[in-house]
Parts: sequence; C-alpha cells; structure tokens
Amino acid sequence: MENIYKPFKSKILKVTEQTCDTKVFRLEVKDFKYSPGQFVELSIPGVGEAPISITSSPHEEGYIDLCVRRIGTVTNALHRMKAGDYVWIRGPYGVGFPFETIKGKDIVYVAGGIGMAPLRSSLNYVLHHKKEFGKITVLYGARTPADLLYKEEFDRWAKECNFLVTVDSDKLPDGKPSGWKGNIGVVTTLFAKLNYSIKDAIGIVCGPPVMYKFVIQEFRKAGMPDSSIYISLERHMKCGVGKCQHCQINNRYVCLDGPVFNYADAKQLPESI
Amino acid sequence: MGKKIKKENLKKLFDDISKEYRVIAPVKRKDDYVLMEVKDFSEVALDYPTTVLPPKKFIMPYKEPIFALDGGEFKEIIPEEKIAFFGLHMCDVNAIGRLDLVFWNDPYYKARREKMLVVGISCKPIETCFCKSTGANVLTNACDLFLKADGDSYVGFSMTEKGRKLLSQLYFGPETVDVKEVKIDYDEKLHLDVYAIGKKILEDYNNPVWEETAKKCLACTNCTLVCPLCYCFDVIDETFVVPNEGQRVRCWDSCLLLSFARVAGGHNFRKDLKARYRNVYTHKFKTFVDEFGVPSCVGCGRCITFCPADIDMRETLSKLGGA
Repeated sequence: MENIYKPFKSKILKVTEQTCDTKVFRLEVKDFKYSPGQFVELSIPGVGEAPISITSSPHEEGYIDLCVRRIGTVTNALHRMKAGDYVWIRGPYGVGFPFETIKGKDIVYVAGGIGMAPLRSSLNYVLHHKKEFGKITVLYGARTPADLLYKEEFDRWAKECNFLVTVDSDKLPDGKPSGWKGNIGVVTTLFAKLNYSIKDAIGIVCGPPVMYKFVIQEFRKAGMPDSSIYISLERHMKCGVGKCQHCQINNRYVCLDGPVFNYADAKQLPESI
Repeated sequence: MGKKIKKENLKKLFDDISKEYRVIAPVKRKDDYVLMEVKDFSEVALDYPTTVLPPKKFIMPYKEPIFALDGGEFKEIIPEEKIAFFGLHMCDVNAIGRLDLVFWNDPYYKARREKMLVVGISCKPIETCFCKSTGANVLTNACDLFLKADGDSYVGFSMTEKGRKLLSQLYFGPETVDVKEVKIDYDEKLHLDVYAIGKKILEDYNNPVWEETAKKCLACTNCTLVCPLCYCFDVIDETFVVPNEGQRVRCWDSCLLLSFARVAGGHNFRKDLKARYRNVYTHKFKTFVDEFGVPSCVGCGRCITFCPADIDMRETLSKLGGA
C-alpha cells in the first residue's frame, strides 16, 4: 500500500534571494501535476515537515518553485540549503483556484506580504492563458520596498496587466530612506486608483490574517458579491490529508477543502480568518 | 447466532489467543483499571467499570515512529505486531470501528488493524456512561468476537471470519442462541439527541455555555487523552547523536492546547480557550458526523471521570440542546 505520508526526494536546482528573509527554492520534479493555489509538505530529514504553497505555475515544467520566508524551524533550515542539496516533498495537496468557474471574467488580485507567493502561481497561470480571462488587476502591498517579492517580474506584470504596488512605509527596515517613488499606504489604498468597475470581477486575496477584513470591505464597497471573492487560508497542516485536525475549521479542512475558499462559504466558518 | 461458553473455559479461549497474539486486556492497578499486555488469564479483569486509557493507546501509540531517518532518507517503519484485545467494552469496540473510518488508508494504523483481533465483553453501565446516546451500544463488525454475559456463562457472537474460527473451538458449546441484535441496554442518566445537538453547534455558535465551561476548563487535555476517539496528532523529527540518523514520530496532540491552531509567525486561529473547548465538541458532534455519519464520541464517559474541573460533557451538550 502506498504510504500517504512518505515524501519523495527532490533536488534544489536554484535558490533566488528575494528579500532579507525570503528566498525562492526551485525544486526538481517529474510528472508533478498541480494547480495554482495548491501546496506541498516539505521535509528536511531530522528537522521536520511544513506546508508550503507552490509559487510557480503549472505551465513551467520539470520544477516547482517555493517562495519561503524564514520564520520557523523547517524554513530556517531550508534557508541554509543551496542548489544541489536535497529536500523531500509530498503533495500537491488541497484545492486551488477555480479557473473553470472564473473563466472569461475580470480578476482583481490582492496580495499582502508573503501572500504574494500562492497568488503569483495563479497570476502567472492567468497571464499565460490571457485570452481566456478578462481584465487582470494586481494590488500588491508589502511593509517596505525591501520586502517586495518578485521585483524582477514587475516590468512584465506592468506590461501584461494592471499592476499596482504599495508599501506601508518607504523607509528601509533599518530606518534609512529607500528612495521609493511609488505608492505609500496599506494595500486597500490602491482600490481608489482603480478607474473601472470591479463589480463583476473576481476577487482573489491572500495575505496576513488582519488584511482580509479590510480588503473584503473594499470589494463589497465596489459592489462585488461575496461569492465572487476567493481567499487563500493559512494553517499549519501537519498531515495534508485530512487526518491530523490541525487545519480543521468547523466542518472544513484547509488541506482538503482549501486552502482556497470562496468567501461566501468561508464567512460561514467562524475562526476561518 | 451465538454459542455458549462456560466462564471457566474463558481461560482456554485466552490461551488460544495468546499463542498467536500479544494480548491486551483490562487489569486492576490500585484503584483503577488499565489496558495492558497480559500473559496470564488470571490477571484479566472480566468485570470492570472502564479503563483509564482506551484501546487507542495500542492502536495508535502515544509516540509512534513512522519513518526511520537513515542517512537522510525516509524509510517507513510499518508495525509488525499482532495485537489481540481481550475484554473490551462495547463503547471501546465501537471506538475502534469509528477510528477505522478515519485511518482506513493510514499505513501504520492499517498494518496493526488488519492483524488485530478484538474480543469484546459485556459491561455493567456506570453513572458516566452514555453510549446509547452516541449509538455505540450496538455490536458491529469492528468486533471479531463478543462475549455476552449470561448468568454463569457467556454467549459468544462472531462478527468476522476470525471470530467464527474461535467460535468453532470445542470450548464453545454446541447449542446456539438465536439473537438478532446484541446491544447494551440500560437507563442513561441523561439521554441526548447528539445529532440534533451537533447541528446546533454551528447555528448557535456563541451559546453562553462555551464561555461558562471554558471558565472552568483548565486546558489540561485529560479529556482528549483518555478519549478513545480523539486522534489529533503532531509529527516531529527526532535526531539521534549520530548525524543524519533519527526518526520521524507521530504523537498524540490536543486541540485544547494553545499551540494547536498556531501558524508560523505566531498568529493563532484559536487563541481563546473558549474557541478551543468548543472545537472539541464541533469536531465530535458536527465535523465528524458530516464526514462519517456518526459522532466521534462513543459515550464511554472517561472525559467526565477524568476531568479535574468536574466538567460533564453531557451537561454541556444538554445546555446546547436547550434541555
């Protein structure tokens, strides 16, 4: 019988430094089918296992990218690894973004901080299949200019969609000025810059727990129904297969029913955000 | 169909089972009864109220190695042992049946379970019992052989092929007893419609009972530890002194613990004890029912007996039901 907890070995092909605490790890995989929004369980033998969302997009073959902030035991150990080292993964797990349902529609992505990691997978997928979707907008906020992820893709995104970035503060983490010329303010301030109606668009949100409430308020103000909003939830899934109960929210499992939830459903689940 | 066995012949049955299995049975230890490995039939307590820990102690041990970390590779450790439970009460037998629903595709659980023999025995319900409310008072095929007390004898009922084999042994009498359904019947102190109450949990999410009970609850996790159906687990890597050597273990966890719903970076989705306490009930009487059609509670009453704060799950449930 196949062991549902057994990870497979995967070589780190490339490590790209994104910010002072965040790196992207490119892992070698073969015949690995996944959809944007799904996650893997990443193991480092002797250290532990942690759920990490996939940040690459399914049209990129032969590898997956994981965008990882150094924040816990496993992620700290991972940050010490380099190209050529091996990690272990299993998955993909969960249900990703419902592209079949949202085909043909406008999409507004709202990403906060590391929430950009799972959204990037979806964004690049949508941009790759651009003809199948309507107008694409990305509202992206980070704490400081030094915390922005995927800066190398900003130019391409700005060309291919309506891409707006903001930072909470233009100071660098050490308090020095950054020379930032762009928007300053929390991510919700970017809604005022949208010069078209997003009433019939699909909203896709991922960020720190505190962000959801305010972003959803903005969507509602714009006339978007809750059923058009999708959120990606964070939990510490220990098993990924609906057994350990760590990601249970009332009668849903983030690892099986999510991590992407329709907000009309998620709002029925107290404690979800 | 059942077959009679005289009480003095139970030893023969036990010895037969011992030949093939590591036998786990209820044993008296000071003032309590515990499930433990038994070599000699004389140690077995046939008449006991309830054991401190449920059979999960052996089916999914407190700390179970699942992979050997051998030179940085994961090598699965599949348990080989053949366990026989001898003398489980109906609630515990049914708890195993309900765990089967969750862990049918878990390689560790399955390896133990497939090799396992479960022999159940009649009980005398005590004050804390509410198996009838949870539908766990009826015999199911989670049990291989059930011994129903009948005066000075027992009547054996087989539910599986393993049970039928034992029942064909000579120490079981030839006479058959025709019984349609084997169940434990008694007057519960408080009968609860757990399905109706379960539905109410989400509808009446902020019922004052959660706040009230959470004030008494110490979050000690006694109730979840002694629960035959609390199966939350954590997964931890342990390393030995030698580099690259160690093991990945699965340990019991409890959703009552502050750390349970905490994520990297420190955000905690169930920071308040009220939310964690409610979650025990949400899972047992709503989530599990939605998933498997039965509650993940068999009414064994252990959580009532071993709560140092005198919290009675039945009272909490009845308050929710508006009784």
